[in-house]
Amino acid sequence: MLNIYPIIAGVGIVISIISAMKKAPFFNYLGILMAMYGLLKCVEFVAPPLPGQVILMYMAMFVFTFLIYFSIKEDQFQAFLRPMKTVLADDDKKILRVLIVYIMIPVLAGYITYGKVKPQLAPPTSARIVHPEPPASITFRGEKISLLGAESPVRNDTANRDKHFEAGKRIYYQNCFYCHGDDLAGNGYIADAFNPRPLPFRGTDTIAQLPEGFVFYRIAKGWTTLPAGSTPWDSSMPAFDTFLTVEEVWQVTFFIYEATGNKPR
Amino acid sequence: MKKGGFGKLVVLIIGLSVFYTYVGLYFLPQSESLPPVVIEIREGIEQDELLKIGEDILFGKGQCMVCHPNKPEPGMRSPAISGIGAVIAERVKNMDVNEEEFIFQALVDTKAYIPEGFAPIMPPSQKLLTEGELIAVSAFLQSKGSDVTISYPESLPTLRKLLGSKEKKAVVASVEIKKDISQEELLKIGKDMYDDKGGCIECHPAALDPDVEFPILPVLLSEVQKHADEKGSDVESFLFESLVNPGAYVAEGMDDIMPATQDELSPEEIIAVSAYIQSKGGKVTVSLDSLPKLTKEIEKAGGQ
Amino acid sequence: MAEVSTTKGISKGVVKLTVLLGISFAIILLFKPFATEEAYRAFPVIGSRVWVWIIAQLHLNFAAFVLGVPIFAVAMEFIGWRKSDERLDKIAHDFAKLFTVGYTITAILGTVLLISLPILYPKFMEHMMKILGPTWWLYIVVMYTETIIVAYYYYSWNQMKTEGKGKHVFLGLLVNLAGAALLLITSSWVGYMTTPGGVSEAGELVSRWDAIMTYMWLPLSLHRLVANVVFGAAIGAAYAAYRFTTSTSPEDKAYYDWMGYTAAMICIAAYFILPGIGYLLGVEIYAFNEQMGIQLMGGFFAWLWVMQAILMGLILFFINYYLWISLNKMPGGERYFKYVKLLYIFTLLGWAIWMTPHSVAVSLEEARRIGTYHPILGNLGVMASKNTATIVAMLATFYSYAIFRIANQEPTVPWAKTGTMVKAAVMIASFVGILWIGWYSYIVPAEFRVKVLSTIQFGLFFGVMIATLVIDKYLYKDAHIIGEPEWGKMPDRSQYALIGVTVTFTWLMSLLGYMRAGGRQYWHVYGIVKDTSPDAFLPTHGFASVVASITTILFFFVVAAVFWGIIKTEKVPEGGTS
Repeated sequence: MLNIYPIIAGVGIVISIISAMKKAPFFNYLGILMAMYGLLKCVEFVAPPLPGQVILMYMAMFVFTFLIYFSIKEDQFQAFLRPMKTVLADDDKKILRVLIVYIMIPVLAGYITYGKVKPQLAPPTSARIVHPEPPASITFRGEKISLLGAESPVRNDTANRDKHFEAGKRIYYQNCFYCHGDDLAGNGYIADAFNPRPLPFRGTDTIAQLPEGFVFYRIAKGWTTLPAGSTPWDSSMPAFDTFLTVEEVWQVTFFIYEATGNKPR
Repeated sequence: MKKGGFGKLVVLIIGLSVFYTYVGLYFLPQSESLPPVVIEIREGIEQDELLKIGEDILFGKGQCMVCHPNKPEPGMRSPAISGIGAVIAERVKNMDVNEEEFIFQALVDTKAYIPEGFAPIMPPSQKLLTEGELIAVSAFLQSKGSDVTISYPESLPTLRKLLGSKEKKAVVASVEIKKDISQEELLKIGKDMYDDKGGCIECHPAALDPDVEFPILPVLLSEVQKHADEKGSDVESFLFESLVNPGAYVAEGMDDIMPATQDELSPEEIIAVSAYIQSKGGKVTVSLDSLPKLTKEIEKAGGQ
Repeated sequence: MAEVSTTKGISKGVVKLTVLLGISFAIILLFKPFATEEAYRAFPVIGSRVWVWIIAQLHLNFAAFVLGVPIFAVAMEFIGWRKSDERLDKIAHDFAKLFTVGYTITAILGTVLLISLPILYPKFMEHMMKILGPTWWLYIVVMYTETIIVAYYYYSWNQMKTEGKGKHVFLGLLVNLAGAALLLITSSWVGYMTTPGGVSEAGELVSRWDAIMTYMWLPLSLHRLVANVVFGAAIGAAYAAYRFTTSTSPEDKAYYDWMGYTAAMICIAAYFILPGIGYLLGVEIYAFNEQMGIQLMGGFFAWLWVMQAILMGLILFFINYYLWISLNKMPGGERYFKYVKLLYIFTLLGWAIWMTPHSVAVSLEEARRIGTYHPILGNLGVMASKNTATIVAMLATFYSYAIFRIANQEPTVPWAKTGTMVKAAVMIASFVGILWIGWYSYIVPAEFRVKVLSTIQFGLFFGVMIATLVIDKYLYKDAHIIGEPEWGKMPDRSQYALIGVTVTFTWLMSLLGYMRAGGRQYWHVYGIVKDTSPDAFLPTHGFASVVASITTILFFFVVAAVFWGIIKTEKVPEGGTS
């Protein structure tokens, strides 16, 4: 989409410079305000856009202080007032007067009112916690497993690394890949059905940020034990403790780390 | 008199006031700050309901969120709520208290378990919350990462015991120390104070402990000696100052978290503790004759 | 002007006070407010809270007026006496007239408050009497003392003008001492309500002295004292401005222009100290209770600080505007317009940063749950940058004044060039230094920033001001005067700026008063006496703004009546009798 704000800023600066040279403070004032508005909106090129309320506040400040600035010297102030006085009083400016006072100002007021009362369609924002805190321990088919600093028995069993990797791969393609995808990038063929989408394992911002015990917990318990910030329907991850054994979960955890080249935290 | 001046004045005053009102009404966010509602906690309340109440208190009446952020963030004043249950479960592993006692203690006697890197700024919760509410908050905290074992009214006895001992602790009579006490006796009292009533041993253990990063008892004196030399004051005064105004000198890399000793101990007891510390690696010079010196330091600390 | 004898004046004052106290005690006795089980009674239509809020704020405004104006008036009288300047003595007398009338209004409002409080809030007042009762009797004694001295001071003005002027100034000093005593007593009540001490948790008195000597007592008193000077001078400036715009003769215009200028400069000089003392007050509140401190500074009230910044910046801009326009009346002033552009930019930037909100999220909970800070705004909206911005804006305002003072002079001392360069170097170094400290504040712990860096910044600010004034004093010794300032040659809009300062400051007082009271949340006495009335909640910021506006307009309505009365008495021909 074409962004018009740099243009507004540019035009404003040009108007300001020309009217400063022609000694027309009123138009200089309008030009400066225009340029400032454009520049404030242009912040979105380097950072998140400024909130509308803050822009409103700054603009009100500019309107007031530049008015002050142009009224310090008496002759400048009179020159500032002149365009307004001529439009309102001179006989030969009748058409302009009608145009501004009876058409432009009411239309502007109407436009602002319209903008204020127009119904807005925006979904309510919700703050979802993506990585909820894990419990200290979970019950896995009646067996209590402590998760705090839990170490993967599979990862430690380096002698059988290849065996575990192959087993994990098999489990992944039997259970996970429908959603999490062929290349573990969260784009399985039914991934589009979910909101939020299944997480990708590639990249450095998902499993690479998590301890292995947490991944184990998410696979084993799925959506079922998520805390209030994340439940119940903001995750469609099934609880696999009913389908897999403890070792199998560790194996598939091991696989998704190894296959994506990530290390647990 | 020029006409019209008064009218302009009225317009100016009312105009400015109206403008400020406009800013207040339409620019500032509009919300009311309601006083906390009285929350009723019945006996045998469902665990879910208890947690919900705990969460509400955390965000509302308890005002915990003023200092405790939900998720960890840089520059936070106090530990984050998220995952705090797991942190507690981890910490109690090496202690002889269970999670329940730990949480109650942390809420009631807030200086007890200040984690590393945080200042002891938390006000005691029992001033603000009822027993039931304390239990609800504790249960909610525990639910953030650990199995909830706290419930109402089952946990009441544990909490009451703590509340009771907290009050009792404050009124423990000072040990009477006679003027002509022998040095041996003084050192014995000092040890009792150090290990028990003063609670010094919790942070400054008698032997090296990998979990404790504060100076241990045997090196305290040499630390004191070193800094006293740097400052050019005599060891006794510096030792007293460190005890009654711990913020005055904080060793490099350490946080200013030590509580002032005179809140817990009487001046005579502080003398005893000082003597005890001196006895670990040096000649004991402190005796009851040092009282005026100590009083001076206490006054100095109080004046700040 | 009508002369009233001193004894008559004093007895009039004493009788007035006695009648007012008598009325309130009679009504209180009649109503028997404490003989009730109910903790509250409701005021019709607007409710007890809004009623007490408005009356208390009005009472406070007038109290600030009658405590602030004497400081100002006596200072004027003293300088006028030492320098034998008739103009200053006239100003001082004009102001003495203002506050003598002000006393009566303050006392009437106080009476209304005195009747309202025990009737509407019996249980709470019972507690206050139990804890701080004796101070109330002391208050009455001091009130009588003050009334007698004030009446004596005012009515003996012309008598003691020629002989015993020194004694008269001393009397003025006594007025201020009694005023300060009143202020200390009332501050102790408010201090106790906000940061109580000296009582047990159940609200039983432990130590009365501790209940008086609370965390807030001295900083609050100091803050109020300085704010009173600002307020008194601002009222003086507004009075002069109004007289200026309505008078037609050149002599009157010149006189009121000069009076407005003097009052406005005293106002702004005292105003410069306020942020520092406010800071001190904040530190004390934090020391009393960290939670209350955060609640006040960053919690529910966070947005009102943005509002406060808007108002404070406006005041600076009004004053700057006034000074910049004033350059027009200085022969040779046009040489300095080129610097005005620079000062304008500094003030504008300072103000913009000052009013930038830290987080745009609405409530505390939201801020915590979402935790989003805008990368630019978030960095601008913190203490480090705000302190710096405040000081930069204030320093720019100071330089507007410094320029104005010397605008019609040219130094003749041989080291004029060096002197000017030293001055410029001091200016640049101070701006750079303040900005550097501001930047450095970001990377040090909060403790260090609050206790050390801010102090250095404020110290630098005052140091630069003093240095510049001292250099100017010697640099412009026997300076060549291009022309005398043309007092009275000011456009009306400059005078409206002065009135704008006064209105804004009054509104600001209402706002900050509300925040101080609101910091207690749902307590009458924080942590001791709970507010269980239906009004125990904090209203929206909009509601508070409406009340502040109503109070401000009511206040100016009454003040206008006072001014009007004074102007009317002036019309009685000189030497007339009553």
